[in-house]
Amino acid sequence: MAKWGMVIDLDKCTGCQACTTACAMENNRLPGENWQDVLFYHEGKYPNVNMKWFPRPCMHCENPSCVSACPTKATYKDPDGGYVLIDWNKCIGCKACMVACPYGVRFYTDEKPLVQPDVRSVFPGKGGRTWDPPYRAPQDDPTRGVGIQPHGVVSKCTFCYHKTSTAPKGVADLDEDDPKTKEHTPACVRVCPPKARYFGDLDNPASKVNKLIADKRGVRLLDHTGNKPQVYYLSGGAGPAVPSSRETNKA
Amino acid sequence: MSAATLPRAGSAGFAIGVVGFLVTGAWVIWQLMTQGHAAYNTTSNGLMWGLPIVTYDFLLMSSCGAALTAALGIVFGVKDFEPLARRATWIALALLVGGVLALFLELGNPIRSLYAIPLNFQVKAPLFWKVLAVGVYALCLLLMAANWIAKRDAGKPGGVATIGAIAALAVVFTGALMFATLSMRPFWHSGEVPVMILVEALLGGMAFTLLAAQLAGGTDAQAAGHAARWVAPLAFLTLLFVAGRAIVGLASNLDGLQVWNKVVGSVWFWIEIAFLVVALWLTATAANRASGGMQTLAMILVIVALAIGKYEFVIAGQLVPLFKGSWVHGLIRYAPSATEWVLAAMSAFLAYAVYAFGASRFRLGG
Amino acid sequence: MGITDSIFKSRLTRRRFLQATAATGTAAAAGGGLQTLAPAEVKAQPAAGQTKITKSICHQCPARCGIDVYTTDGRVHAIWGSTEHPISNGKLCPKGPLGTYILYDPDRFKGPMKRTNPKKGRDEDPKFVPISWDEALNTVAARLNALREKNESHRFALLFGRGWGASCAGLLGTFGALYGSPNVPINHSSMCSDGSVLAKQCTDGNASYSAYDYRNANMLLMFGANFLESFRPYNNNMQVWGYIRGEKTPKTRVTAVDVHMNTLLAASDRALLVKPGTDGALALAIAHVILTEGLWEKSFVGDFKDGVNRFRTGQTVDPKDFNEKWVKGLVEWWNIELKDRTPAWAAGVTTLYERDIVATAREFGTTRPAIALFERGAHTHSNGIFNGMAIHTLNALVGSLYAKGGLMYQMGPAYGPLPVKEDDYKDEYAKSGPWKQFPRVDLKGHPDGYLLAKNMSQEIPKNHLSGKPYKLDTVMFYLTNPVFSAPNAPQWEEMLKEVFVIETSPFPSETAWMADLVLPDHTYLERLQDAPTYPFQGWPLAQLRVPAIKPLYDTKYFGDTLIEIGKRIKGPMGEYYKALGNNENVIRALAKGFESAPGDNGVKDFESWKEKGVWYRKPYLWRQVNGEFFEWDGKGYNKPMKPEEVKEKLLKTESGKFEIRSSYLEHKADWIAAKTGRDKNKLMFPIWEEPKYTGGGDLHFVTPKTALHAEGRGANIPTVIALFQPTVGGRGAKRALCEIHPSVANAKGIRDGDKIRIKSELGQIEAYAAVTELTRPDTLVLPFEYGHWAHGRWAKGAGSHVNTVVVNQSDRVTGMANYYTAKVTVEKA
Repeated sequence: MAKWGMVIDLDKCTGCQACTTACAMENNRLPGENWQDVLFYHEGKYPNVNMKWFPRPCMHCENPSCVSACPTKATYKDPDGGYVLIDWNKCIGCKACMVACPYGVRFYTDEKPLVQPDVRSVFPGKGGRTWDPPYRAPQDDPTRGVGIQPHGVVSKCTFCYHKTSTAPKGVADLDEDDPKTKEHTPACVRVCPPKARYFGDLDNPASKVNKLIADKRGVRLLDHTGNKPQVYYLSGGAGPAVPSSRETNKA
Repeated sequence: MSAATLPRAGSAGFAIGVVGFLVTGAWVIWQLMTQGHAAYNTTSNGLMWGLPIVTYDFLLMSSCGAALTAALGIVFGVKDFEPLARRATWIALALLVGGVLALFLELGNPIRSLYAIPLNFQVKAPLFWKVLAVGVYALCLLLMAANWIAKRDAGKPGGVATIGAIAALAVVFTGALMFATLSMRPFWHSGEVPVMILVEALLGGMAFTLLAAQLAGGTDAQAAGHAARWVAPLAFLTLLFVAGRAIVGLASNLDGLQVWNKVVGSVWFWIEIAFLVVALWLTATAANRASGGMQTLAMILVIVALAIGKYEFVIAGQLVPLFKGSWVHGLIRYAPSATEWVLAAMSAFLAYAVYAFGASRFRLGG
Repeated sequence: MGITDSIFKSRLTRRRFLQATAATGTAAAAGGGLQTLAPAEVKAQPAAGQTKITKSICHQCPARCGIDVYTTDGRVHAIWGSTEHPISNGKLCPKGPLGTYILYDPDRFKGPMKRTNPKKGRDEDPKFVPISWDEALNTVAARLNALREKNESHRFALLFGRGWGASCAGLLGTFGALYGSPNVPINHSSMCSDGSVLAKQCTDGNASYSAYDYRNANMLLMFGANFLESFRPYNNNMQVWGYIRGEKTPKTRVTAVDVHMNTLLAASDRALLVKPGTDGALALAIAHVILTEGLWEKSFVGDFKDGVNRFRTGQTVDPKDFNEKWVKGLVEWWNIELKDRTPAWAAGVTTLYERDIVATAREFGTTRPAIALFERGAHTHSNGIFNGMAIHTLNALVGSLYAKGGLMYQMGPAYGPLPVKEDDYKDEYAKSGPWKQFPRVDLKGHPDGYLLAKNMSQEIPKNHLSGKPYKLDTVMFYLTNPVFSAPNAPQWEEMLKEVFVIETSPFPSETAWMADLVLPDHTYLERLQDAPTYPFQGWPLAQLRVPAIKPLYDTKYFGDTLIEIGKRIKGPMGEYYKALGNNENVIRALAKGFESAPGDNGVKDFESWKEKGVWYRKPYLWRQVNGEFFEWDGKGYNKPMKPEEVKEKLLKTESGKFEIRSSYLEHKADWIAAKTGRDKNKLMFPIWEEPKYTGGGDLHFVTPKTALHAEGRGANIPTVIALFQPTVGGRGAKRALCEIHPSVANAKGIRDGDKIRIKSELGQIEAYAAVTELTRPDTLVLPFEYGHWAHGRWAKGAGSHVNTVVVNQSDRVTGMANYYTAKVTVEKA
């Protein structure tokens, strides 16, 4: 059983948002339903303005606060792969998971559209699903939150479960440059032009993701919340974020 | 109490409640049918729980508080509340119904929640335990309603009341845990939050009960005036909680607590404080407690203040966006949509209709 | 917001209500609500059928990334970069995956249309009615034949923009030559980036964009070109970035110059925020430092005969003391201009700190190989030619021309010839008809117009409306939409009201709104179409679009439309097109050329080209090493080149050298001096000239492209609109926002999100303000892509139409439209 993790190299990331759009198209997301998003921040005053950004998928945490918040086990941790997934047949749309997520990765489907006219009325859904775009992708797995969701549920990044879960067993990394794993690589990783994203098995000592985290001092974000994400960030240099002492001072 | 006057007032109230519920309900249903939940102003930007959840939470907590108010009389033997226990229990049921309505029109899949929550047994989730507790609590209220309130001359309910009281406490506690366990939201993440919510629940339930008793007139009003001496310390505790949290929040540099600047800068915060202070004054002295008019006013002030407080608590805890970057720079801007307001009114009308039904059909006094 | 406003944030208007009553059937679309009172478990859809993968080329910028298009059960549902394509390498920029929206755009034309409303204007619905292709083509042919009969064929113009290759734009010249119009075609390049093309032509004789060997460069200096948001090939640039900044040893150093903070400047080692239009001053100061500190590449440039550096600030140098190797005019340039262009001086002009100019110059001068690149930001100003020449000269000073890790030019593909020769089908009219007396309507190449420009499309409406040189009768548009994208766009509206307009876009563009006839093209995923590479890495490359599915609607590929029109022209021209046949014949003929020059990936004919999607042959054939030029001999750059060969193939100037003193300009000095007032002794050198800003306002107004800008095809994509401007935007921002510095905003009482009015002498537009430190205090930045007033239900109103306020001024030498040189005023609306 793999424990999938992602590594994002902020030295290479150009903030282009290709990961966001590739995910949006692969997973048939509504405009603005950014399961994968790139967050921009800036500080300082002209001319010394400092602009930063980082891509933000779901962290698929090891101790997910969303799983502990969900009253129906609709949100659950799948030990086979380490995914945090949503079963749309159990979700009651209470949004406790959205409130409990420190990383803001979740989306509720029945909200005002960000862009008018609403694509849901331009491409109305069939079979209880929220919409049916003409470019709808073939994959569909509502018990894992894959495909176009029905009404009244929460959705989020699935680490492209429909691709990654069918990867050859025991493979250490899912790399888009390897023909054997190209079609199993998550959309955001596959499309990334500067190759700033990596996806591999955190439980496999031979995986590239583990090597990158070790060599380049990969950090987890918001470590003080104790969620322990499976997405690590590389920033070159000293790795400035401070890891939570819960992780570094284990008894 | 005049046996002649009561049923008339109750019937008129019931009519008002039903008509109000139907009119507001029709509008809300219409909005939901044409726009779905886009009729609400909640967004995935970070304001997920809006006025509907505030309405639900306020009514549910007040319901538990009313049940606990009754329990003070019939479980713990506090004499002041014995004559108010029937009314308090029925009010608890009415508020519960109103609250659950708001919740059901807010949930994405409300019918599913009825079986998905109990059957999937997610013991890690505070909401699982809360729903379990609500189930027991509702059952106890219904049993008390059927076997005690509906029967004019039935004696005190006994075991059911005790279980109901424990369930009410459990609802409040687990409901508060949903907020308090979230380590990424320092506005909610604190051990005092369940205590504060319990105090506010009790105060709210008590205020609804005493208000209803005042309006019923006669001996019920006298009982209410007497029992109001319990409101003063509860109001005082509430003020301490509000002041303590506000001062700590303003002093703290933790990310998330900067929202206190906005809260304290809002006129509604100061209205809440003022209302609680006045209510405290009105209920602290025997002279004021003797005046029916003052007491009615005091209870209304308490209810409004607690409603404001609940809104602040639920909403302000979400106004600092988590991980949105420049997509949402600054605090999230939220104001309830018209549908959300009318939904709040709809819940209030339903609760009132249920109360008025009981007031006209059953003996709620003494 | 008042308390009542905040309490009753009601969105129930009467109109909404009526819409709601009409829309109850689509309540499910709007979202949930009561449907979920009776929850339905959703079952997984049945497994899909076979997935077919076809090759195509992304359409959304000039980069021409090869893509794999995935079609399952008749739905095109995924676009990925082709792993084997040398530009995309399996990757895509953010625009690439959104291509299926373009195919399935609900606002596309479903077939040819004819206007029935005789009035034209922004508020006049054309009231199109569908017609058959026969009627459409016959209408066009009838008009063209009539013009020809009246000896007025020059009054037919065909304007194109993003032409792709031989099977579309490549057919246009022949059409014009056979038909008899100098205006077929007119390319948009003067509204594109001719400023850099001319700057290169004036200095190294190549009228082209450069190809680059970034991966081997150790320092990159970028002026006004957003390498990480729009500079093409954008996708490949980012791949390069990941390598040079994340893998390569040593890590490549980057300094970027622009007018506001963007991802490129933020990700670089040094960001220089210059005053708009002053990039040339910075480049001159850098050159000054390179010379005074002796940092120039002596093997390429040459040196003082005794090796002693005599370049000192303010002091002239005797040209006889210096041996020039591959440059011409270095010392004259120093004497006449550069000796006084110090970093301190440049700091005053550009508002940069002197310390940063010196540091940049030293880094650029001491790091080899180094590349200085520039694009529109530097040259869309009245002094654009000089800015461009100054920057490009930096490459000569450090010896990067044709070097490893430097820049070069692009080789064309080994296409085969068409099966029919144009010259065999010219009648007397074509060879010597009265049309030959007329100049082009844009006065390109004309002393009254722009003598040296390649195109002057932005001049067309002005010329037409004044009747000088003449009025047009019929105008056809292919992949260009100047009535939206040209400076002083409203002037195009005036012109189009007077002429018969034929639009070929699949989309209801602004041009379509003003059109009399619409002959809609396929969208790119439905086309068979070639595209040789845009300048990339020098070695030739040509890719192919293969249809992923049958056309969704009754559309026709533009190449076929042109051929069909051609067939209906009377005389031998019709015979030419009948012989040519159709688009597929054209592509097959091109591919025949590969038989004798098979691609590195085995592509040698039409079928293999369709299968692999791309033909290419490495390497680039020439290289400069330590001041000597070599040609590829099959194994290495071993064959030394004689100076005549260098002049013929590489430094294509009169002297066969890099001309800092440009003979190309010098030959036209009289004309240039007469039209610009420039000093005849200086106008052939890269000099500093104050830019002439337009518009009459006090704030610079810059209207750039963003990463999601897809040359107009992105306008109607809702995902694009949801994502625009992540740096200063907001989720649910009403429109693309205008960056405005807090000092300006505070002075005018403008708060973040407020509506503002932007005015120039031409007119005014409204926008919404993003108050931010990310821009210069004297500059407003508003991306232009989103300001459509047509183009589909999502495109309308997503931004502000900047070209309503941008004055149409052009660089008199390059012809480049001066987009970014406008100055406006701003106030709270």
